[in-house]
Amino acid sequence: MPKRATDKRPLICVIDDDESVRESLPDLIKELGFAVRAFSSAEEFLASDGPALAKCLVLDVAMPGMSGPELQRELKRQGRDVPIVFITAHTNDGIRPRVLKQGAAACLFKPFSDTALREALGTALQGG
Amino acid sequence: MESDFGRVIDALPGLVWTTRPDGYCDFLNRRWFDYTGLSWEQAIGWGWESVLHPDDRSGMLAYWQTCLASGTGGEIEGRLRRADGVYRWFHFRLSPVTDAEGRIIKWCGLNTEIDDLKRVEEKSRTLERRFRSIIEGLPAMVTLMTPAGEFAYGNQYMIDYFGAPFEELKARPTTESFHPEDRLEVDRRWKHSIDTGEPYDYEARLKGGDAVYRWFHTRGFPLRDPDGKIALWYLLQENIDDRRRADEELRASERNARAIVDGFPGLVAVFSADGFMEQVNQQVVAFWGKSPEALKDWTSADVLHPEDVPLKLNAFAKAFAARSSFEVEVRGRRFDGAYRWLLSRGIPVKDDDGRIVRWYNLLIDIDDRKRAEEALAASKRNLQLIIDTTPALIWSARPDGNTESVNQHFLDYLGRTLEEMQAWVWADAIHPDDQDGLAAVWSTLQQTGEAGQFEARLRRHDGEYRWFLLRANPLRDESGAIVKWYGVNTDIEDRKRAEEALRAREREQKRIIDTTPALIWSPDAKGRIEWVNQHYIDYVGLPLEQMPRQGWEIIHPDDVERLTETWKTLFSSGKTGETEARLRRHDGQYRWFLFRASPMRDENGTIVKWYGVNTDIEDRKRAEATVRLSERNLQHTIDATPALIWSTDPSGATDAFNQHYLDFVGRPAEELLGWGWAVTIHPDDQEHLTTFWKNLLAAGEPGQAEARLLRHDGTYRWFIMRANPMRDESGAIVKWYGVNTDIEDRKHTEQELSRSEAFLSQGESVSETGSFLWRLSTNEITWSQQLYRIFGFEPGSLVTLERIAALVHPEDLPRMDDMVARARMGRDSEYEHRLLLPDGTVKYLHFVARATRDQEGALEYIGVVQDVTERRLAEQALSKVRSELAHVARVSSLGALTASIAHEVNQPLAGIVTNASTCLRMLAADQPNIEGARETARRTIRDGNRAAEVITRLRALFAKKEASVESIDLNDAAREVIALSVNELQRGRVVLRQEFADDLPSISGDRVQLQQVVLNLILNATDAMSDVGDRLRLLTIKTELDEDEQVRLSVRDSGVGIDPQTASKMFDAFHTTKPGGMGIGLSVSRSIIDRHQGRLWARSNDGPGATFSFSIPRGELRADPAAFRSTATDAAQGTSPH
Repeated sequence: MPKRATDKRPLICVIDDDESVRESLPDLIKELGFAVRAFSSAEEFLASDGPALAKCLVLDVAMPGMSGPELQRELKRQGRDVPIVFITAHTNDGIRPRVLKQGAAACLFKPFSDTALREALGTALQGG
Repeated sequence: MESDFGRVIDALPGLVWTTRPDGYCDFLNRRWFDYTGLSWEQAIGWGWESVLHPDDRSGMLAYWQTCLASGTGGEIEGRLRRADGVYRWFHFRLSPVTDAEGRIIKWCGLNTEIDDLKRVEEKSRTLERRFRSIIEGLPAMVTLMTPAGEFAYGNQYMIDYFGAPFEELKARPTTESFHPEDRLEVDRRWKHSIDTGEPYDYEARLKGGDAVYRWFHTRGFPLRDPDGKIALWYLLQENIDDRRRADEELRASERNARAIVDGFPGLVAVFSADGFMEQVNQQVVAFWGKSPEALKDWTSADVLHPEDVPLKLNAFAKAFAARSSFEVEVRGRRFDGAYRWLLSRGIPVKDDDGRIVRWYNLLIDIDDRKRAEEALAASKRNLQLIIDTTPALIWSARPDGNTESVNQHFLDYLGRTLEEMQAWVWADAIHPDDQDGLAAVWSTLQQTGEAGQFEARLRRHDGEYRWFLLRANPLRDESGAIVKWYGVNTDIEDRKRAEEALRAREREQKRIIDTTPALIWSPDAKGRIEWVNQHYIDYVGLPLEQMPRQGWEIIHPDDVERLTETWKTLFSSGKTGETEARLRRHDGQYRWFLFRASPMRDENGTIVKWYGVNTDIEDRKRAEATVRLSERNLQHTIDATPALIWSTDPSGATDAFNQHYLDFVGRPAEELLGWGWAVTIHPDDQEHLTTFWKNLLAAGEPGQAEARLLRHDGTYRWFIMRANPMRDESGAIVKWYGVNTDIEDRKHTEQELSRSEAFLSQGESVSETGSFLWRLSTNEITWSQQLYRIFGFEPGSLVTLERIAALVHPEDLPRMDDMVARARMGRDSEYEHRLLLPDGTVKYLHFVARATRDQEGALEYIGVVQDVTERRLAEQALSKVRSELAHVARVSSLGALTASIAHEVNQPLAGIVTNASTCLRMLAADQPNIEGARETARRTIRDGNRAAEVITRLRALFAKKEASVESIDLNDAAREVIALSVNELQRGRVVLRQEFADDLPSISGDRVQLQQVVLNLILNATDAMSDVGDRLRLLTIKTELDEDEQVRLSVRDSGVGIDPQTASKMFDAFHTTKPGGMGIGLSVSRSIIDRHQGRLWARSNDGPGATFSFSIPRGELRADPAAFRSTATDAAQGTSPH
């Protein structure tokens, strides 16, 4: 994904270990009118300039290595208050209230609709 | 060979014949008969003379006699009458055929047709003379000019007219001969003709030797060579002075016309202005021999040739219309009935007002000229036609030998143009090997000036060389000087080939005779050896010259007399015969030979020669001696053999017994001969033995029977009597030989054995156990009665492995193959397998076999087969109940994995929904992004397939499914389990490390069961690490081929490890360390691995945690599928760790 320094559209970073999500979600987010970049792990995201540039994160909960909530805590520790929309394929545990409590903008269960994503991003960016 | 030769002779492009040495014709080939139309009877002997041309006959016969007398071949030309009566020229070539002694045994002749050639030669010789004589005979000047217009030749007429020798005329400028008034126009017209090649036609005055100018009508036409180039101009100059003068005078003195007409030294007719004949002169009357009145009706009477009347009328009519003169050539019928060509020239006479008052018709006899022209043109056409159509290569050369012209065939053959030929010495086309010879012959010909011929190879346009007979003939002028050489090259390739084939065949025959591994010789009529082959010379060791002429010296002295007698008989009877005698070899040793001699006869049956072949029969002689010796030995052997031996004649009547036989029965041979022996047979056996013996005689086949024979001491003993027919070469039975062997002791043993068998059989029947003996060396399988019953086979029927295999349950066939393989290696085995009987029932057999060796050391396999069907059926009933229970347990474990399943399914579903949404958005835009939409749709499909795969995997793992055996890649199987467990691992915050071996051998077993074991081990390991907080929760799954060549899978954790107190009970059923577990996982896992003939174990790590491993033999499964099946579904319980 080329950097678009002059792009006026807010940059959304997608972080998910699942390749098909990394393929499909950025296209949808672009269609919604945002600039977008994708990362396959929390570590990759932290190593890039993503934390400095991102206006919002779309973050998978369960990932090998650093999990979504761990990244949320790490960013908070670094003082970066970027709004986060969590996404997860799990439906039956208490992840949703936990991350919202930690300050996430939204938590979507896979599969989610484009409308749900747009609303979540809208909420996140307004709040941010 | 002979028929090939005949075909070759018939295929030769010529007439072939042979005669006896005295000239008596004894063979003519098919072409000869086809050509002459004569029959064999008509031509044979001297009958062929009748087809010789009468003019040639005496000369040719004289020549033939000369050849016969001198014994040398030769050639001659003559005419032969064809079947249709036409004589054609042939070239006869004849040569004597000699034998080894140089004596003529035959004459052979070949006639080649040369008729066309003859004719061409004749034509070409005469043509020039004719040409010359025609030119000279013309009543006109004939001049030949070169293409450039130079004077080349003039006839005598011209020389006479100009009154100057040819050389002088040649030097004189042409125009000087013409009247000054005509020169300009003559010059102009002549140049025009030279430049364009158009015919020249003009009338002009030529100054004669008497200085008088006379009118000549000159017509010139070009003579062209075959390429259309002008070779010469032929000019015919006709004296028309009389005509011209007549014309002038006619015009000048019209009033005196009648007188003039009458006095005119030519044929003149006068016509009125409207075309009616008014007058003819005396010459006309004399020419036609008709009265002027009769001639007036010239169009219908026999005045002109009928074809020419319309011509003349037409010319007349045109001239009337044009009011001008006419000229036409017509044939007039002279008084003697001969038609002669006349130039009919009509001139209108006009009055002062220009009105035509009369027509004068001048008739000039041009017949001679006309004929000459026609003859010349015709003969030239003919010659060219002949030359070009002759199927031979024809050429002409100047006296110095340079090529002048060749015919079209020659050009075609060489593939060259005439220009190339003239500029090129065609000797280049001669085969290099023939060039020197040809040059020599040609040089000789030029020196002697005689006709000659030579055979040489000419290269064809395609590079192939063919043999040609090159003939050259000189053409001489009247003075005898050679002016030209004419040549004809005839293609004789086929003849050459035939000759070569004939020579090759002769060489071949010579070689065959010389290499025939026999001594071949030929005596003359007196019996003296005249010729022998190389083998003969080699054998005797003397060259032919030194060989004794009578030959007796090299015959063994004892055989000379007999041989001489045989010879005399043969010679006097004239028949083929043979005898045997010893012939001395070069080293002095005598060897036996079969001498065979045959006479060779000519067509009349007279013996002309004898041929002899001696075949070495030394070995056969020796063999015969050996046979005689061995026959004597045989009798001794038979008598000495410790068995009863007898023989009969073909009818079965006994004719001999050996001494042993006579000693056994204690009777003299005389009492036993014929059918007398029957009294020594036990009365109970006599009937069946007699029947058997009669049947054997009828069938003519070997056979054997058992019977009791009375010994001299009055006791009967059992014998097996074997009889064999002996046949001669034609297959007819000449004798029967028999041997009676004492089997009394064996009979006893057999009886003992059958008693033992009865006991065994009863025992087997009671225990439902069968037994068998299998001799591996002969593949002979012997079954007990009970085993036949178990398999449902007809007792006593032949048992083969194929027959057994047909009943073995298809799923157990690999086990049977394995058993057979082990048996062949001499190993013991014990198996259970099933039979699937034709009625569908299944039998379970327990099979134990031991390999042993019999007395001779051959491998035997002795086994016991027990029918355990009832026991197995009971076990299965039990296991079925157990497996229902297992399924319930397994399905309940689904709950434990629900989270994992949801994750696995939701992941691709998320992709599907997202991609589909994106796709719709892309399509709904103002400018639809078709390419993007297509890509997202593609991803949608892919994710859909991925979801379907997840479902398939889940169903395989949890479906209620019968066990199956298949080939498994344990790496693949483990990866599928890991894919299902990923979520569990993530939830347990476990880091997974995979260490899969490459090239892991496959194993056989139930894939799903093994996957359940792996899943069980993974979940157990995850649980064991759930309380670990101070170190990495590391789970390592490793596959490898271990030191025992077994495929091993290990699951290592960094958990709490194994409690030594519970370690021993760990694999027991219902033992669990977990509060929520059923404690069944490890015990079921172990039973699954056991049934795969593998091992499952656990040990503590050096560091924290434990490692659970199982190993399974690679390759073919040796587990018992029946037992395997009975507890197959227990495995499901292992997946529930809680």
